[in-house]
Amino acid sequence: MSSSVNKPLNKSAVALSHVVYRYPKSKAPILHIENWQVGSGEHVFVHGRSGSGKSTLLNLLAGILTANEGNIHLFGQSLLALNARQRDAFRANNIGMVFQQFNLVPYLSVLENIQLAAHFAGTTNEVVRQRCHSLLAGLSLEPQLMNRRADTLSVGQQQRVAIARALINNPRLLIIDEPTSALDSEAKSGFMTMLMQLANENETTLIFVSHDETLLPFFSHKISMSELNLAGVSYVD
Amino acid sequence: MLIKLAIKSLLQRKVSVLLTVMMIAVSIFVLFSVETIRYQAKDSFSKTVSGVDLIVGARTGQLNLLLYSVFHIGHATNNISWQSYQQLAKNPNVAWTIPIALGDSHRGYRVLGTTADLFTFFKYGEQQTLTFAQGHAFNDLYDAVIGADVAKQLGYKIGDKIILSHGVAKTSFSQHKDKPFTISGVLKPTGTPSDKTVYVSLQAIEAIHIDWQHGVKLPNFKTSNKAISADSLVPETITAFMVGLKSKLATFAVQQQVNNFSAEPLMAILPGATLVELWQMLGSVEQILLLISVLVLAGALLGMSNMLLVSMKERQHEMAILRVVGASPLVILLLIQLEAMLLVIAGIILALLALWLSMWLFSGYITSEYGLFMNQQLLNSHLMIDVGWILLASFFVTMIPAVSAYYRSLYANLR
Repeated sequence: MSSSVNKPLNKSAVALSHVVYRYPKSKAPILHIENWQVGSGEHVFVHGRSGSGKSTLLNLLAGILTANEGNIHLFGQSLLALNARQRDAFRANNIGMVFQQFNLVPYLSVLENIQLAAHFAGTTNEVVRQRCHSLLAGLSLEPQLMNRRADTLSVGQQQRVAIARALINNPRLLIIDEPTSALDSEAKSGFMTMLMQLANENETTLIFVSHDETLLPFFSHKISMSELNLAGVSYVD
Repeated sequence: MLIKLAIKSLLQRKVSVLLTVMMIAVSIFVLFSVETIRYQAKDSFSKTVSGVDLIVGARTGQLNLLLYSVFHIGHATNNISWQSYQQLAKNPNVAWTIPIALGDSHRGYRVLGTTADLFTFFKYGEQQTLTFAQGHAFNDLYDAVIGADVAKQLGYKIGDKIILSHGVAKTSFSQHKDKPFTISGVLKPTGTPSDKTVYVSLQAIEAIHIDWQHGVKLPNFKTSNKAISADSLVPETITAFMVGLKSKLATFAVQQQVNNFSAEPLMAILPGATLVELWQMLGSVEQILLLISVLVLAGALLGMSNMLLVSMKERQHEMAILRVVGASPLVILLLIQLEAMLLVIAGIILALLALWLSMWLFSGYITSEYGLFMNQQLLNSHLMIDVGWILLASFFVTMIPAVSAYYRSLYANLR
């Protein structure tokens, strides 16, 4: 075992040690990360294409999937030490996630989508209303959109609402996967600017996965999936 | 929040949800109708007559005698002569008798010729006697007492004059126009065939048939009404009579005496026992109807389960989103169960409305055609138990899509 396991884990926001994940009924791992740490408040750009194991990584970080081997610590909390229900609650309270698309429940209004996320974190409706206005303003979304059905918004608007939803519970970790793939370049840079500003204001740790290297200048740290994921590389215990 | 989510999600799939609710509603309506008729018929039948020990009529089927004498359904094949009646009524074990003469009607309602003893001795339900809402029993020859439904449907009150018709058809060509009756009393509602009956005295029945032969009025005879006095009228025959005994122990002995009566072929039945027999005969039909309705309901619930299962595929993103914002797979399972419950509850409400509506529309028909009274409240404990079973069955059937959703959401496909 590498010495990094013994390092104090509570200083880093994200710490993975010897994490291996296999699909059920499959022998070969599709993800193997020996050691990876992200410091609190860091904004990390993870460069990776589809098939590089990035979806698996994000699902592991979110606690939706559990690793077959190794452990993940988030803000000092071992995910292994939590049962399934506790992991779901931990995710609701500490992690915001935004994906390429389909981030919102289409038949709910913008406000209801945000309230849904707040519901599982136990955030009161009063707090939601207050935070909602400032979040939407920060994302250049007009307050009238609040009561519109999510599926009547443009893709750009939907992605911004997704950010608002991800941030409503004041998460410590924001996980974002290719959020700009459906946006044109102008909308893209506007979106990124707002995202980084909100992440800075809230002192949120940000893990941003994309294959789009033009976004690199927005980040302080960069790592590539091919460096991170040892799966496929012959692995000797 | 979860209920709101379930409702909005269902509204999102309006057409298939609507069809599913209709399917469930129709099947529950079938079940509820069968159940309602079952229980109400049983109740209605069993409370029609009580406190009567024997019913005596011309020899015929037991059920037939019961049906025409008590339920006023069908016809007597033969009558009893007045002499035989008098002779049997004198039996030392007999406490009282109520003669019945049927065969006339008033605007579709049966006319029953009897004596004032009816209002003293006849009992229905839990040993209740017929009581008057207004007026009194017949004092005068041409007095008539009407049941609550007759008064309500035809808008009659005390003092109104009515004309009786010969025969029991709704429209009769031969009417006793020359001898109008005056309504002397209106009975309180009983929920039994009494409500739909016009009661007159036996003498009156005899009086209106003077100058008639073989069901036809003889044109050249016209006896003046004044010439007829109650005392001079002795009926030649009656249709049947009810018997109350001094001691229940004598029931079978008296029944034997009637059955062996030598002057003419007669029979006596025990109304309670014959009701049970009637009920047993209907029992197998009832069981088959119940089985069919349960199967129809099972089909509908499986259909609903299938609809939810099919929808899971298109709702994969939705489930993934719920997982991302912190919903546990158990919450997803509950959401599917909640949606199913909403569908079934909507189906139950629709079915109850349909049941209520059809009872409102057809109860009159059912009562007049089959002698069943449906005027009970619909939401009785039997239906509530059925509702419980339906919800339980839907819970188990919905476990199929719900568990499927649970496992799908364990590995929610997040991209």
